[in-house]
Amino acid sequence: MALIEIENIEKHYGKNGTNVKAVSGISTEITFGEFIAVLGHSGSGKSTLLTMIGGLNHPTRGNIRVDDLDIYALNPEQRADFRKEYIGFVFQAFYLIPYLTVLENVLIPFAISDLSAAKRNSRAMQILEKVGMADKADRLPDELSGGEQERVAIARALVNEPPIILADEPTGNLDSVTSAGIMQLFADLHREGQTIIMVTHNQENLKYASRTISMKDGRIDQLN
Amino acid sequence: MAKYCTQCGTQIEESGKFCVECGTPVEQSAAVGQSVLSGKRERVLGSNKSKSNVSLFIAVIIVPLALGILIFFENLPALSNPIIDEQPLVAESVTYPPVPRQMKTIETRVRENKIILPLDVVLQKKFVAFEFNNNGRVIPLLAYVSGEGKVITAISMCEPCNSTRFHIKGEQLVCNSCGTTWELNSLDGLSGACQGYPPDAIPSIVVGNEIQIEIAPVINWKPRV
Ligand SMILES: Nc1ncnc2c1ncn2[C@@H]1O[C@H](COP(=O)(O)OP(=O)(O)OP(=O)(O)O)[C@@H](O)[C@H]1O
Ligand SMILES: [Mg+2]
Repeated sequence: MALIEIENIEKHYGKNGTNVKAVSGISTEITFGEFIAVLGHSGSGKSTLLTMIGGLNHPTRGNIRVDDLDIYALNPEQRADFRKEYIGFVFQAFYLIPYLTVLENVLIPFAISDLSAAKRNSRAMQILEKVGMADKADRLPDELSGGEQERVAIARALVNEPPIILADEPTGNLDSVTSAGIMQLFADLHREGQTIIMVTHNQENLKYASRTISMKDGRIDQLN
Repeated sequence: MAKYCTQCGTQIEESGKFCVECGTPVEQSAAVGQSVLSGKRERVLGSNKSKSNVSLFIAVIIVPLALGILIFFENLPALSNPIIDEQPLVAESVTYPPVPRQMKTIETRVRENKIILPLDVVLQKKFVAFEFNNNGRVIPLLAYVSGEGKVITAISMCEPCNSTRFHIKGEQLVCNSCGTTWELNSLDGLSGACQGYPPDAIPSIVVGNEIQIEIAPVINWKPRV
């Protein structure tokens, strides 16, 4: 069974004639464990597609089912729980909180959870270990390189163990060597079974993905 | 439908039992998927608070009524935030330049179940971040002087992206993580993915040189995601 079923979704922005068709008819299925790269020119609808999958952006038409949940038929409370259970977001230039240490930054999604402090700490350290930042857990973000900050941001997205990671140009601000390190981290996560959907501008990154979706004018470019 | 190996990502034949690259059995891939997902769907559907019996009523009566009201009110301004409406004016109107103004962290005190901020410091820094530590649960807060000159106090969190940092740019409040923008005076969404999650306003009053926030709504605050 597909983990994510996207059925003929469209997204139109704007009222009264200023209608922008950001996404105009996309259908695809994404299986558990896939690593999808979403490629396309600026304005082709990549971020719109990603936020629709993440339950943050109501499609104008069509349905998205995740683990057999029709996410936009859920009530807002259920959709909020859907995001908490299923989705981890990684954004480009994720600003970490400057006066909190790496560990404290990763603990933020837990600020409101019922887990004991000891459990939260060990869980966060485990994730920092995974992204290769455990030895810098006590540092402040200012004392980290851009790539290291991105690793902490990824740790933060992973800490609630979401089955789906949505990443919007996570290497957009990094040089090519640092990018390759971050992509290797995503590839490692993928090997462990993590489902990842990543928007990227960089052709270099495609080799890490198990499938590429090419977008053009709000549609999947079938030629690719 | 294409299948992929969960261990190495290689595409597997529809009928394949093992990954040709790394030899992982396909059943195991499916099983890994199931165990990661187990219980999640139930937890999401469990947050259905009041749907079952009233859903027909909602469909037949409320929805057409609400649609009618919506259409009727479409040209009126958006409903305002009642907490922001009540916030005190502390300055003449303020004009922020179109360059980002980041939050400045300040120290606060707690006295008689109130968080106390020095008004003069907030007026000088315009946009401040502070925290309330409720027995180890740290709640991030912010305060700023709006364009209208009101002091606005709020929980400093954009839940979908777990960001607690924002900046002010011109007449907009912007999330440092996702770039979502809200109107500075009203916190109405303007653009971006997380428009439904502006900093959640918390009431405060001004007494002398103190901005006072009751801790009860801060302690009881629940993330909206
Ligand atoms: N909130 C919004 N309101 C109105 N129009 C929008 C909104 N968000 C996106 N758009 C428009 O929809 C189209 C697709 O935007 P989207 O952000 O999805 O593109 P993208 O492929 O992510 O581009 P980029 O590579 O520049 O990030 C663009 O024309 C954009 O201007
Ligand atoms: Mg984009």
